[in-house]
Amino acid sequence: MKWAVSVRSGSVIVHFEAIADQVDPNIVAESVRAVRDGLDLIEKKPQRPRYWSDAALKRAKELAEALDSKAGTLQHVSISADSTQKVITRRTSANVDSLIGIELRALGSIEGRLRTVSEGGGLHFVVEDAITHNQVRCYIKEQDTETILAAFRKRVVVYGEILYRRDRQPASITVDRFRVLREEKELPSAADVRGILA
Amino acid sequence: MSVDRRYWDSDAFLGWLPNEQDKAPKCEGVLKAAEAGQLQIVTSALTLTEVIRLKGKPRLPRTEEDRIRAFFEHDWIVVRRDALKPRLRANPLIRLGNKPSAHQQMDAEEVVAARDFR
Repeated sequence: MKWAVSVRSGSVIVHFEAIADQVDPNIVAESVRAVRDGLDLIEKKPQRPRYWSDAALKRAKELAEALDSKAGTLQHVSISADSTQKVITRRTSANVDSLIGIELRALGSIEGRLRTVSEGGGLHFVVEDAITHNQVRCYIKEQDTETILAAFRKRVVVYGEILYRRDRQPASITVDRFRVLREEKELPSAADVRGILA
Repeated sequence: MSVDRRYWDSDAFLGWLPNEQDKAPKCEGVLKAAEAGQLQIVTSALTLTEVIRLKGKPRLPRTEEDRIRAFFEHDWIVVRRDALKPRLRANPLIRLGNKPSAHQQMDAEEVVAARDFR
């Protein structure tokens, strides 16, 4: 799916058109509905809209915060889709904070496949939670860089101090130690362990 | 792509691993589907402990314990290992200010792992 974005000179109205590109047109319609209904829901209450990732929530917050821009020219932000208009206010920003703001920290561990390694915003790598698919940032020490790079794309368990969001999902962890999990082919099958405790 | 999930507590694993005649056949279909990538089995870290340290039984030989630990490392078995403390705070079963009993802690972790899996 692609988005065609257009804006008229001198206008503050931006037009987005969803274009089916090698996807079912129904998915395009569903995506537009997900944006429209999601903005409506997050404006009303701190509840994650269906299909919305953390990144989508943060973008909605940025949209609401355009109202606080120092330029001070925006008085009103709204989204129109399928002949309905949804007004976005500072409540959206507050509701996103309620949903994904950091609430507490505690020791624990996170399991997932080690994907991105980055220096931006502090040396870290990212693991993807197997159930929620949320990306958890894992902050590491400089001296562990080589070990981490050697574990790239492998499944790992990392232990350390976790920051939890208000929705109880882990947002990041300061890595104290970590362990690389074995690959599937090295693990015993269900049949292999049947009766092991007999 | 969303994958179907089943929550298993230690009872299910303790049906399969000792090959209990009344339980193991009921577990087989789920395990085969999981191995085929059709679903995930979600459990808590406590389950692994309960399976390896069987109450009232001698400690398992190291090789068997390692084999069971390895089995739990499959990517189709999702072990929730999140920190217990904040989860307890989040859990309505445990009142703040009261030190939870070991049983309450175990129950709370099971509840949280099961809740996360939905």
